Amino acid sequence: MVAMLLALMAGGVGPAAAHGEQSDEAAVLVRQAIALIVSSPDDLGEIEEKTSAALEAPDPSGVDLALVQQADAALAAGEDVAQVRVILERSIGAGPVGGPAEESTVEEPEPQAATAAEPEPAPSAEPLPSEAWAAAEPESVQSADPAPSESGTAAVPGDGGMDQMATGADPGSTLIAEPLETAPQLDATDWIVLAGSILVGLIGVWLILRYRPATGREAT
Amino acid sequence: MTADNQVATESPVDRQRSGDGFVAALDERLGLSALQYPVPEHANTLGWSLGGLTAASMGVLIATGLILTQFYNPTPEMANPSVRAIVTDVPLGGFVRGVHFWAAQAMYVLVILHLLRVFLTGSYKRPREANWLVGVVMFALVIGAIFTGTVIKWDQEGFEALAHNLEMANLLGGLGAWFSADFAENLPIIVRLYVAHVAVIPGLILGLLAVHFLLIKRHGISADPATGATGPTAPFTHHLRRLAGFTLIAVGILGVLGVLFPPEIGPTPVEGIEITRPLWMFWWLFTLENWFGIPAILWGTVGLFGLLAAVPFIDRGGDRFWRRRPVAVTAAVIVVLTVIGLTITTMLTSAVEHL
Repeated sequence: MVAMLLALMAGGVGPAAAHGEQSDEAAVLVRQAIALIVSSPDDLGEIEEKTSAALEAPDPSGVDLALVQQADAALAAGEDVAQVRVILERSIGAGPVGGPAEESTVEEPEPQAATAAEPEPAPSAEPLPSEAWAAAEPESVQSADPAPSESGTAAVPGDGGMDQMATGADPGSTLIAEPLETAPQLDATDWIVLAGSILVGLIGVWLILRYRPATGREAT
Repeated sequence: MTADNQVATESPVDRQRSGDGFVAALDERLGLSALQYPVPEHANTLGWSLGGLTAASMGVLIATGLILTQFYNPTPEMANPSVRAIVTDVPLGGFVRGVHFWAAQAMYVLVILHLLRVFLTGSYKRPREANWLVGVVMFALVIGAIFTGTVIKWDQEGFEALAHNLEMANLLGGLGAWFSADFAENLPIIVRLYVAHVAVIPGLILGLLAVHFLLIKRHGISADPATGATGPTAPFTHHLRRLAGFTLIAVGILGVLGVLFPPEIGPTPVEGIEITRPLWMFWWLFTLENWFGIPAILWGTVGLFGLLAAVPFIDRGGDRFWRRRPVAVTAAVIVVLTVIGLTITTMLTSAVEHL
């Protein structure tokens, strides 16, 4: 206990590194921008901060910075964040079309993209990356093969085979899936389970009434 | 003639006459009648059944957890997708996960209520100090189980919880080595947390539960604190059947919650950002962190559990009735209100405002 307290005192008081330190990897910053789009799409300032930081990151490996630039410009122009997300996912090879692993499939940003007058249109007819992710086989996430999977999800650069699987506190996935809403659409099975649960509870009520203490006294 | 020979020469009719058939046969072999020992009748009330209900919640958690482990994949790449698959692909998987989720919350609440009941009735006083300490350790383990369960679903919320854990491991230096990702750097930390969640922590809880029960049996259920008298007694089996009733009610409620309010699964995690709030039971620590930084999480936790552990050594007076222990009860009320106040503070704060 004393040792723990001493360790704490040595730690001092202040914001944690987890909260304040900016990554120097563009790929991480792009993923953070995507996560912010998924979780708080209205917080445009934070998202733009991440894309800008990604453009200036010391380690740009694994990221198509031209696409990040395009996404950054689209954000500045107030474009739909869903489209920005698609561009960002493509920039790290996590989108439906592929990223740096498929340079030939990625359009170079046009000059006007810098002003975001005409950002890369999002293929609205195509599934969102999250949907493609959900449908993807595990191998498509982990495979070293950079070719897109049947579901259209490109392989993730750096996410190789067994010898390259995540270790330590690595989150292990490049794709950012949407939260899975689990609000119940009650079907027949759910109704049966619900009725069974209520029945079990009622049996419990009967039992405690049947066997209540003779004195009926409650705890002090 | 030996006793064995005597049994061998008994006819089935004799055996049936000597007992109540099947129950008697079971009793002869398992000694079930030993459970008929007398306990105070007040043990059959809800307040004195909270410990048993906590154990029942543990049973629900183990049963549902066993099912979930058949489909969960504890690797960083597949943990979150496998939880989603449990909900969307496994028959009744969402329901089982929902019951597991709510049973964990129920166990947390029941542990606290049980601790409060024991505190208010002074049931930790001599000679029951050791059992109080065992209970406090089990409370810490329950929190550990909830924490690891949060992390291993491997969504943004769980990953942010892990990030705090790693920060605290750094603060603790060598003492926090096991909680650090560097402890086994070639292994994903989620695997070790999964092992802790499904084996280490439940194993420790079950072991301590056995000690807890043995000490209750050794010292007996404490007397009515208002009178100091044991009062009327009833067989322990009556306590068990009453507890079975409470347990069925709890299971029914958990089932309804599991169907109507299934827990969601957050987005796959990204390191280095904080955009979620933890589970509500950690909100008081979240507020402390907002005010004083990461070390406050450890300060708060160590402080609370230090206080809990010290209770039987500070409040050593003979009186057990709460009205005759104004200082102890006032101190407890202050602690409880502080935790509730800190919790409400986080409830009113958006995750984005965190730090």
